[in-house]
Amino acid sequence: MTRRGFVRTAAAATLLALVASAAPTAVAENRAEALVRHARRVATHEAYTGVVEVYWQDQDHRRYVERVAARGLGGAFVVGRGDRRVIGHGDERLAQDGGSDVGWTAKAEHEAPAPDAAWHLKVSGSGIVAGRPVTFVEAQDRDGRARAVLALDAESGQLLERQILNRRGDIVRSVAFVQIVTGAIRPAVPITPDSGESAPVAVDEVPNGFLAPTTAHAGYELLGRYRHADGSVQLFYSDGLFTLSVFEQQGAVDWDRLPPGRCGPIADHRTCSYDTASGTIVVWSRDGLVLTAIGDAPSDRVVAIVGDFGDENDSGWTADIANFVLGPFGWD
Amino acid sequence: MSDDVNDTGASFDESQLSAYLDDELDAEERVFVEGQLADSPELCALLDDVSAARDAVRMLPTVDAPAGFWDRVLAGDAGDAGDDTNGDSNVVDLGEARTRRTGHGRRWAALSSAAAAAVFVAVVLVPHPTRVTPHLSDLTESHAERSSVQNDPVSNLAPVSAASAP
Repeated sequence: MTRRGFVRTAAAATLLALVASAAPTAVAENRAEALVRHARRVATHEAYTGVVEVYWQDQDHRRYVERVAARGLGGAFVVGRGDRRVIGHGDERLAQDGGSDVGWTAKAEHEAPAPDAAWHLKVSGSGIVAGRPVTFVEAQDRDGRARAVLALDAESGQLLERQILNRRGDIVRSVAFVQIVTGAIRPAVPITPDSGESAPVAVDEVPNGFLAPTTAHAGYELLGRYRHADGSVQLFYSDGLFTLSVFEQQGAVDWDRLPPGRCGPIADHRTCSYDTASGTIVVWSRDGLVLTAIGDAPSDRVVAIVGDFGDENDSGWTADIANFVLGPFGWD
Repeated sequence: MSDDVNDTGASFDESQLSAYLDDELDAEERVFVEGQLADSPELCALLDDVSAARDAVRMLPTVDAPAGFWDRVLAGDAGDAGDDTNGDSNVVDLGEARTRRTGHGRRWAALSSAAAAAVFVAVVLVPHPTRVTPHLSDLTESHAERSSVQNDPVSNLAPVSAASAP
């Protein structure tokens, strides 16, 4: 072999080695993202009946465990226990709580970001959940810390467990099937009643005086704006993996009447926050609005939106004027 | 001089307030002034103004006169007497000064009243932002229902069925 031939062969071998080492990682990442997407599709079509365990820590590190039932068939489902449950079918939801019914009909106005848009997803292993083999998908933040673990049924792809981790890697919240039966079953699922006139209404623009930023901290993108019967506004965001709602009510926070929580300043705003079974809640105020953000992401991701939420409000008339004047010059 | 007419038609010389404060009134005049004060909140306010002004003056530091000042006063050439060798133009009409002073007091009283009215309007009449206490449980439920359309329904809805937010 000539010297030139040797160099070419060595270069080709090095390139092959690099490709070979990188390929499994890329495949694993693509597989993780595909598994998460698939889980969302099967969630509304799989026939199942089971018991779900909910675990969470509140802001004072007290721990709670509760169990509820869940059944699904052909796109309809019911989750809850006794007279406190949520019935769903397609885009319709009805929460029943001791005779008080609250309805929702929500179509996604905008497509959500990809599951891995704000998180690094990777298949982290396999195991058993509720007696079924599962594949674990780990969501890592930009610092490489695992902040969520999803357990996906190895056979059907259904999400069987979701764990939320704090920065130290401890589980602070989880929802997991502890028993589940799937396959050729026909669980009893009630028909979703009419959601009624009190259901929130999707709107294209929020009323004057309300904020509606199209993005929020850490990759949240606005997917929908809703007007509630009491005049409040709900903005619904997703970062691809987690969701976040920001509720806006005109007025000032009555701090004395808020329940005890983790209260203190965040980014020069007075806030109170709470860790609940559903996620993290943070209440603050700006521009004559009482803002309440509720999200299922790790707590630090939710409260971080307080810092710059609404700083770049592009939905108001001032932004429209600015766009009209500056648009032709490309000054975005 | 500024005289007020009371309900009985008798006139009141406001300069008597200074004399009253200086304890220069005889018993009969003192009873008369106190009767006027009892019937007139405006006079009471004026008395407070006069008293405050006296206290302010008394708190001023004493300053020694320049050397030779008193000699020039006695010689009649302190100040710009000009042709008035008797210095009469420098004589202050105390009654007129008191009238001016009570006039200032009235203006201060009017300003105080206006300020009080402004505070009343600001506190009572100007609308304040509504005090809002977000109903965290309802909002959490609303978020979970909307989120269950976007994501997995069980993991979003089981928590709200398991426990209410605070």
